[in-house]
Amino acid sequence: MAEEDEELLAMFVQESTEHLENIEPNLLILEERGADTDPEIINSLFRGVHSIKGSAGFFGLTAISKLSHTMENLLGKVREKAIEPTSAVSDSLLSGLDKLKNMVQDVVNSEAVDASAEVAAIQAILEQSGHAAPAAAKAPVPTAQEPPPPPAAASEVAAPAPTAKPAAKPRGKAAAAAKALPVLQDPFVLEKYPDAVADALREEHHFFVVCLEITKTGEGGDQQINRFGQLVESVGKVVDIRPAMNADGTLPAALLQNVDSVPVWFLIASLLTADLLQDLVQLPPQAIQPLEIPEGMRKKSESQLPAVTSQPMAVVALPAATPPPTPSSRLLKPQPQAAAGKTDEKAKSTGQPAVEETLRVSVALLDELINMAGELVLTRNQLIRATAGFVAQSSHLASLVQSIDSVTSRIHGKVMQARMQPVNVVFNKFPRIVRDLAIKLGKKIDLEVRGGDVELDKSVIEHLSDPLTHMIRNVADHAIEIPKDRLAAGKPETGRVELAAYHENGMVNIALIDDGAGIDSERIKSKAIEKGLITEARGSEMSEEELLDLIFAPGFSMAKKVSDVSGRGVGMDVVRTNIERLRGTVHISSKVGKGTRIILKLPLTLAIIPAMIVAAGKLRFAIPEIGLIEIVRVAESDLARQIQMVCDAPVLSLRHSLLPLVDLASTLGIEAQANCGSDGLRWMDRWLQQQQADHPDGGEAPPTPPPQRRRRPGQSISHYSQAIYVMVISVSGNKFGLVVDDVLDSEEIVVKPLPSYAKDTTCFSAVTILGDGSVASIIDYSGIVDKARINFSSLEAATADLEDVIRASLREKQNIILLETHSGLVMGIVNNMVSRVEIIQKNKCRMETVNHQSYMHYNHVTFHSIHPDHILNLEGDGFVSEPGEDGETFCMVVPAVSGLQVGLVFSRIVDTMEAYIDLDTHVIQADGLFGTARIDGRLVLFPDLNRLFQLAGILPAGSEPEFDYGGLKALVVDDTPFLRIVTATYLSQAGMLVDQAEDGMEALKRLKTVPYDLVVTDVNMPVMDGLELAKEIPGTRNAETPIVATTSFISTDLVGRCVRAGMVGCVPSTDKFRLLSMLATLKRV
Amino acid sequence: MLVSTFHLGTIYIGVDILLVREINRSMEYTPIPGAPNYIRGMLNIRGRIITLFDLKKRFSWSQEERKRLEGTAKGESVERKQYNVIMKTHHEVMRISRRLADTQCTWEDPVGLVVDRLGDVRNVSDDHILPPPANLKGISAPFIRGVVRVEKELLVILNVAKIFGTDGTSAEATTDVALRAH
Repeated sequence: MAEEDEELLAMFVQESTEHLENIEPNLLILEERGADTDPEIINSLFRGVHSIKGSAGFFGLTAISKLSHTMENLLGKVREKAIEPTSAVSDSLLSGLDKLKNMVQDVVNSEAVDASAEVAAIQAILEQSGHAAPAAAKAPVPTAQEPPPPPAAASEVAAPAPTAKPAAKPRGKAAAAAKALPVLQDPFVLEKYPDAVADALREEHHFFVVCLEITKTGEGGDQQINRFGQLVESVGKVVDIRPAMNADGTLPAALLQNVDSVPVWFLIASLLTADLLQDLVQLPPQAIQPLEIPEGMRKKSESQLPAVTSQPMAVVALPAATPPPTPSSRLLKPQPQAAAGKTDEKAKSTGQPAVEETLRVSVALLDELINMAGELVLTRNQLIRATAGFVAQSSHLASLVQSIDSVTSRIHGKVMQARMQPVNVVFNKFPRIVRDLAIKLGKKIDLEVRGGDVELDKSVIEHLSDPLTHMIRNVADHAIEIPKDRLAAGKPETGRVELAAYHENGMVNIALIDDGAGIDSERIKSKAIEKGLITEARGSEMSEEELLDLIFAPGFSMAKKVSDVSGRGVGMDVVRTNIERLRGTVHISSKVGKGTRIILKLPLTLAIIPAMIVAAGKLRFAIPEIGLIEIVRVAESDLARQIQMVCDAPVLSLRHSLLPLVDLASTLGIEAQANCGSDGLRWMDRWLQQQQADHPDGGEAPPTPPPQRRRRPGQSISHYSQAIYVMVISVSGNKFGLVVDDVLDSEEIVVKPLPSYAKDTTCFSAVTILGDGSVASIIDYSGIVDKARINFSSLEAATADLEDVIRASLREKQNIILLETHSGLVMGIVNNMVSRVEIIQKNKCRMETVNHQSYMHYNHVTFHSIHPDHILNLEGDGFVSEPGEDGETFCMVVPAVSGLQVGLVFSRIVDTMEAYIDLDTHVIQADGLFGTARIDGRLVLFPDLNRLFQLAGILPAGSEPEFDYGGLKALVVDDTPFLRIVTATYLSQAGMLVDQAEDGMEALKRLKTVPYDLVVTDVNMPVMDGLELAKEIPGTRNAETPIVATTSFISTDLVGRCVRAGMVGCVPSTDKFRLLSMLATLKRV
Repeated sequence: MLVSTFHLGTIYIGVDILLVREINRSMEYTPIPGAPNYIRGMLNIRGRIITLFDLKKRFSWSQEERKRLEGTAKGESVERKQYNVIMKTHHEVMRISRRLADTQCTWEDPVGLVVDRLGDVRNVSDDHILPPPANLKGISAPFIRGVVRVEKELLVILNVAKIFGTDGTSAEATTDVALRAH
């Protein structure tokens, strides 16, 4: 029994909750439209509250019943237009509704809830209108009737005058059990009211005769009748009254003369059943008698004939012989009543969408069905495969397989659909929230909700409520301006917020669009910098979109002041976390002064997601496509070039940024079973191997050019085509690369819960069954990040380290020629300093020495010949030999120095190559030498050709612009150490004091504090390039300082861009002459 | 009580047949990286994902013990000939007996045990079930519900809830016990 009660009570809670959910939007409509509200909406409000009251009464929940009853009364008054639906009315009803919600939610303790404030508020409104009712009858008229008992003595209801103060004598009679009611002398005959009967039949009303006793004491009898009439009007209509009233609706004066009370009979047509009516009017059961519509009239009406009949008249006489209901039955009765009332409501309801027949099904059962449907699909797939060979032999089998195929697909589709719910489930509560907030904040906000019928999986819907609520509150609080500001900005006073759901690309988008103040990305920037979320430098680099995205960073709040609505800096990050947990994304765009648009992209369901199936080791895993940005294939031969180590952590340089790499197999600890290359190595080992192969001396080797494809014995070519795959994944705005061995497939996978025994691993969010029936785990990105110990919050700090690596990876390579002198030294000359290199047969040239200068006649041209090692006073350990005496050939390098016929003599060309030059200026110091570098394990000297010629005394005076730059200070900016040193050397040779900077950012720092007379900057640099630097310089104390650009690839277009950026001009790197000429023009200016 | 019996190496084990859902030949399974070592992996049986428990690892058999207890069977090749004993879940046993479900079948997830060979179904009287002898090799006491002499063999009736770690003590604690027992 107790269990049954519990079940019934649970049903009550469920039903009442549904009613309450329907009531709220309708109340808001009532508030908005006031007196213009569609009567049907008021009716539905009334019915909803009434149903709750009825059911609550059945369970003896007096507190709920009382509150709903009071609300019902007020709604009744509103319905009969006795009370204007002002904002006070809707306010009181809304607060009553809230209380009612609380009580229903915690129904067991509902009796203890104090709803007196709400009841009192509503009563107050009722009473005000009560006083506005017509004044009491002036002259009571006596009748011959026996005084009746007081009506509804112990009622809290407002309508039948609770203040009635009957005389002691009648009261005693009322207490008597077998109370005889007065008899109506002239009973109502329905045949006399054909129109009313026709109406009643159409509207499915029932007729009742109700006896109301009017007392002349207390409030006026007219008022009593009036109130009763109003009460009845709320559920039907009064067809006739006996005795007949005066024309103005007042009681004939003669009636109440000489008696205390007089019975008045009402003929009522009402939607309600007798029990409900009794409940409403609060009269003893015997005072209400149903009046059957005569069969003849019913038929006539149905056949659309005029209501004239010769059938015997239906007569009712009071009191009839009907036995009065036993007192105990009162509690039990409302159940069928409520049911009946509900049916009526449903049948009558037109304001709400037609109620479809539904069945409550437990989610567990649905899930089981979904599982089985998924399994059916798998089995179907296998069946098709297995029968493929036989189908051709039997057309019968073919059609069977085909129909199994299609039915399976349909079952699967429908079962999935069963879990879907319209987003309205969530959307419905927002009008109320927005209304309350608008009032609280003194704003005018109009919320438009669209696409509420778009369906999402139940689990998505459930988790959507919190983030959406937060966003809506934010919009109301921050985005929409107060009416005054809106008017000032030339916008309508009422802010518009649009909440819309729609399908796009197989996902559901939920857009929240407002026409408010918009978000100022500059303000976000300064706020974020102030809070230390980003550095100033980073802020200046970020795009508008990236800046707006900062709203979702933890600890970020735009609110100027903290309110209880929002502004505590928690929330938007939670919004994003929640949405990402649903495998969705958040996008934000905004225009200052125009408004903001936030779009959530959500999957239709969490049960099926698109995923990539990847292999790591021997195992297969599913990687959800949400959050997967791209897949980068890195050939194993390219490992060393694309992947670097930073603090023992591998990073991939991807489009000028660094991506921390996480190896899936080793993170999961499945390395041991890894399926590796033919040599049994995984990519990390191979990477190390490549590093070592390139730098046999080991140690901190700088990144080097890609190794030649040295084919090791036993390795096939195809081995080199092997590659690793880097899944570039974004977690909460941070990117990392997940390294997998292979990408196998892209599949829609059915998500199944993770076995509890695997929950400790945290690397998996769920499991799935692949097409072949085997199980695969679904990777959880944040779990992997945790396991791999990537700490994105310290990313800012790490970036500093990482930038060095970027620098290394971006450093320009130089094309160099390696030449060997006759003394065995290897010298390197950058290609663009060389005009040409000639291999000369010794016997075809003639050497001469004039005035200690060597000349060489070759091909009818005379060159000034220089042995660089002689000039530099550097001797190798090889033997020194004169050209022409030994060997067959030698080579001559003609430098690209204009106006000079100079040839540098070397014994042979060692190599030409593209290489990074890590110039060391300390190993060998000599005038005329830039420095040395180690290339391919050899020490290479880099001579300063211009200086060399000067030292050799062959640089004609005046061929180089000679100005005194003594004491001037220059800043050389170049990320390539070699070029930086070259440029710096040129300038210091001209007498300048030279500072060096590796990139624009570093240069900018110096320029902010130190005054310079000249800036020479490379154009292409990481972090901040030369053009950006030039644009920044006017903001420093070096605003007037001339800037000269250097570049390896000069073009007119580039020169133009340099000049537009505020530079003086652009010269090729390493071209001393042009650089100094440029400076000379400056000097002159 | 009807007992489904199996062989684990040379040890004769059994579980209440009411707890057994089905028995399959060993098939492809998916290891769970990071899970305890006695979890062999996951198995898909008609859409249900079964977590497989490797009993020998659960009982913490050392290499030496394996050699001794597996007898003539040759090391790793055994795996392919093994059987998966898929157990009912708490929910399923609930339909048979609430008491049985609450006392012995406390796991909610579909789980299975890996055994070497199948034995017969034995009818065992509760009265004949004895506490495990102290010198029993290969299975530590907490994993044993009791032993019973069947013909000439000693049948060890397993405390399956303990094996699946759902008897209230954590799986780790159980492993410790098992380790100490050796």
